[in-house]
Amino acid sequence: MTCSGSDSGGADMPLLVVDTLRAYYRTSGATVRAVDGVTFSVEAGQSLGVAGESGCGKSTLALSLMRLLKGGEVVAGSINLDGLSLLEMSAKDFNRVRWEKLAFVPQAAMDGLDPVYSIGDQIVEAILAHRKMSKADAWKRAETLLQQVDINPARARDYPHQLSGGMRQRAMIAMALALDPQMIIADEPTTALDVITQAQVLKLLRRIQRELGIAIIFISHDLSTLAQACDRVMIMYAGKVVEMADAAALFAEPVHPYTRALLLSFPDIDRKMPTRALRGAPPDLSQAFAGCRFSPRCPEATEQCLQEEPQMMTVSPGHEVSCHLQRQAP
Amino acid sequence: MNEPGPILRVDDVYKWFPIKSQGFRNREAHFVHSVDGVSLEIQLGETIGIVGESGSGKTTLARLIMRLEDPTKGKIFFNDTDITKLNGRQMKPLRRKMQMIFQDPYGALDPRKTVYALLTEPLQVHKLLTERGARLQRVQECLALVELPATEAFLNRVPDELSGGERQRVGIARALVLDPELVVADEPVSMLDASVKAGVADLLVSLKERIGLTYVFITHELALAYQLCDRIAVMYLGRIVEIGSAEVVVRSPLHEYSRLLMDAIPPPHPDPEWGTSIPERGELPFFLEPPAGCRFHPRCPAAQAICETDDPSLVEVGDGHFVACHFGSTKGTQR
Amino acid sequence: MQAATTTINLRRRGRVAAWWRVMRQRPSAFFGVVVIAVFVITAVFAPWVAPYPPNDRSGTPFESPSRAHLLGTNDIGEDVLSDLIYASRVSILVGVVAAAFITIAGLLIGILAGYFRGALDEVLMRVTDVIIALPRLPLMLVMAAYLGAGTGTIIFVIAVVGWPSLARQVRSQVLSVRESTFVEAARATGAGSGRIMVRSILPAIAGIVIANGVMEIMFAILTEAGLSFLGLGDPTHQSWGVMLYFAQAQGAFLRGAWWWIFPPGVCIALFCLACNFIGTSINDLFGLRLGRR
Repeated sequence: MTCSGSDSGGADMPLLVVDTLRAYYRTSGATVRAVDGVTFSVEAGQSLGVAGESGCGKSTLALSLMRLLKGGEVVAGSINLDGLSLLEMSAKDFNRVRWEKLAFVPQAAMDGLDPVYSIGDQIVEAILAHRKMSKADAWKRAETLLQQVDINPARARDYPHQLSGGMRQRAMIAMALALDPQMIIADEPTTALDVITQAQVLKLLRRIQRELGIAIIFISHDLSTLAQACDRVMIMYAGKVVEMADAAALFAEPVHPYTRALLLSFPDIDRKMPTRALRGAPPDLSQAFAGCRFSPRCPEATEQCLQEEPQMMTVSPGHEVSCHLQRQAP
Repeated sequence: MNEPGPILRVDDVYKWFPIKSQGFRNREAHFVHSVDGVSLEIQLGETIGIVGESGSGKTTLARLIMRLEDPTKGKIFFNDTDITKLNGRQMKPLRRKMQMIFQDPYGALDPRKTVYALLTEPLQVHKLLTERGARLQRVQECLALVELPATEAFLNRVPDELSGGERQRVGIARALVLDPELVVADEPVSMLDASVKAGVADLLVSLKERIGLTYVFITHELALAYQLCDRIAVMYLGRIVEIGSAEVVVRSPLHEYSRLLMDAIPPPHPDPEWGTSIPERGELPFFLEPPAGCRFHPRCPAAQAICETDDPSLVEVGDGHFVACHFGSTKGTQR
Repeated sequence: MQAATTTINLRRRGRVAAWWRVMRQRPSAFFGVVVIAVFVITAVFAPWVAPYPPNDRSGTPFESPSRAHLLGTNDIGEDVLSDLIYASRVSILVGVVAAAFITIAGLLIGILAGYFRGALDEVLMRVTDVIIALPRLPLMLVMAAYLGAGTGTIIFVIAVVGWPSLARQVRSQVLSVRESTFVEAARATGAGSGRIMVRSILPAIAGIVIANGVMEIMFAILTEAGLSFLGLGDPTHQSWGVMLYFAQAQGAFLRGAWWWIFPPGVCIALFCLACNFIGTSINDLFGLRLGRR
């Protein structure tokens, strides 16, 4: 059973619309164009995977959506969540959006828990920061949340160091669920976990999406995890989106040369063929480049590729690519 | 007709780490049974993978082999010499023959040394290649082996100026400088980015073929072990629960834990069947002392009464294929 | 494989350049270096720089500054400026020598305790703890009283009181560095303890030790000034502190002879400030190199 992009009937407008977002880090001397013109949308209750190597801008994208960007700023573009323009609202207004509509599970979240408070206390703190309720009620809610993420509620009084890495990660997810958000952004939620624990967290996120109808943006450099947990997948390179499609379509028929190369570099237990590594290194994002950012490494690059930046085009329904070598679907 | 013995023999080795007792009340000493009875033989020229999750004891086993830790019990033989009985000075010449590649590319290199200094350090320690230019030549050879440039500019770089993949390659080159017989690689690619990983993994494969090293490859990624190794040993809570050729362990795993590991690996394409056999809860427990009976039985879907009382030992079920399970020989589903 | 191409220069360029960059970014460091340089040069070339030879009663007592005596004269008619210049030799010497002792002792003990741990660590740390626990000034006074006043005594006393704190700092740094993977990698290669301590651990803590060393000079000079002011200095070889001692003892304060009181104090303050600036910039310099990326 594969979920295609928009099978959730009623939604006229997507829940999240990001249009030509640009986020730069300006240091003395250089401007790093970490996110350079990213456009995508996420439907309510849908999960979108964002994949790419480190430095491709995916974390910066997440931080920009949460308005948590430090040392950099969003210089252009718009972010619309459920009709609200996130970039234009005041910080005070956004505080109400943050966590109530849009929650975040940051990278290495399991190390981000405060070691001197129990996990129950930390979830309660998150709840009470946004809602008025008695501490007892908040605690009950915390226990319910822990149960939802498959942690025995009796462990609410445990401290982070008493829990394993996987459990801490699930506690962070429970915290994100505290206020019934419409969307959760998870930045590398399974990266530091063992394979079995990783599988459990992936299944948990899938379940949250399906049972609670929460949209998820899932950021990872590990394409295999995205393949299992996401409806749609978006591949980023050097601050730009190079390909975006339903998961099934992307993995079955990858179009962009980078996507194809990336897929080949993952060991597949079902074929003992050696993986083929990508040659070269990601580009320096502080240097402007007129053409396609991937062209220096692309085995099929043409003159046009080196000089002219390609635009996103639709090659089949729901499948978009940014590459000169592709044909636009009629 | 005298066959050379195994290059490495681990003989019923235990490593228990003491946990400081809390306060005055708890006078009993508690231990973490990091490695709890492991025996292993590695032949010259083979590549063996030790696969397990965190807490399985695989890294501790690697450190015991390298004699960076001393076993609580048991012996380790390198080329028929019992290394657990040697002191520092006696160990030194042996250390030339076994080298280690570390997991963390960012911590494994002294940030204050240049690439040249890092690669010549082992030579300096063992006072080798003292003729003019000989060291430089060896460094250049090793850099070529790991596909890094041996230019003046590169040799003068410090780790800060290298990417993660480059640092790890330097780490590999450093392990090769002394021309060792055995290389222990502790999660050499797990901290690298996805595409860089593939390059370094390919390098390890090609090195294995070109130089004919004996490798012990520690990893939590079964797919990687399958790609790189001839034999695979699966560890759980300090013991080897299954060991056999890579093909057999991956294609027809007999221990429930091995199967769980295999099932948990997400394939690089959407698979609706994936993950159905993974239980929601249940993970590597924080045991101080292992449970009675089979140490996996609390999580085992096929556990029976006997599993709670009797601890199974490794039993041969096929050609070189051993499983530690009471029902190991009665299963046999192909994947 | 072919032998190396022509000559490969394996010296790492850029250390001096790095220093220069720090200097330019932090004008305080530049100021510090200039000030210290001026003091040191004046001290070294004292006989040529000072207008009058030492102990030369060239003027009348308590003369206020004039063209003949830019900083006036003291109670017996000696030129204050010349005294000041010759005194800088003693002060700076005491500062540098005491700091050197502290640094060497603290470094040695800190590394041995931190690297070997166990019984050695326990013993060394207990000794350290005892000295740290005792109040500094009374301890120094008691020792000095026992050993008799003099420059040597002062150096000794400052060193004894100063090394434990550095030893503690060094030890804690060593404790963290020795857990680094690269130290373990060195052990795996077969490096012995000595080699690891010198080649791997020492460079890691060098920055802190050097920065600390500069601060110790400052500490030593201030302490010397204090002890001398209390009368424990050597009257025949005046330091800035001894000058202040005499100024106070011979009534300069009562007479309002500010030209005798301020200059030594200002010199002490300036020198220490300069040390402080340099010490901070060294910290930054080493932090800079390690913290890149």
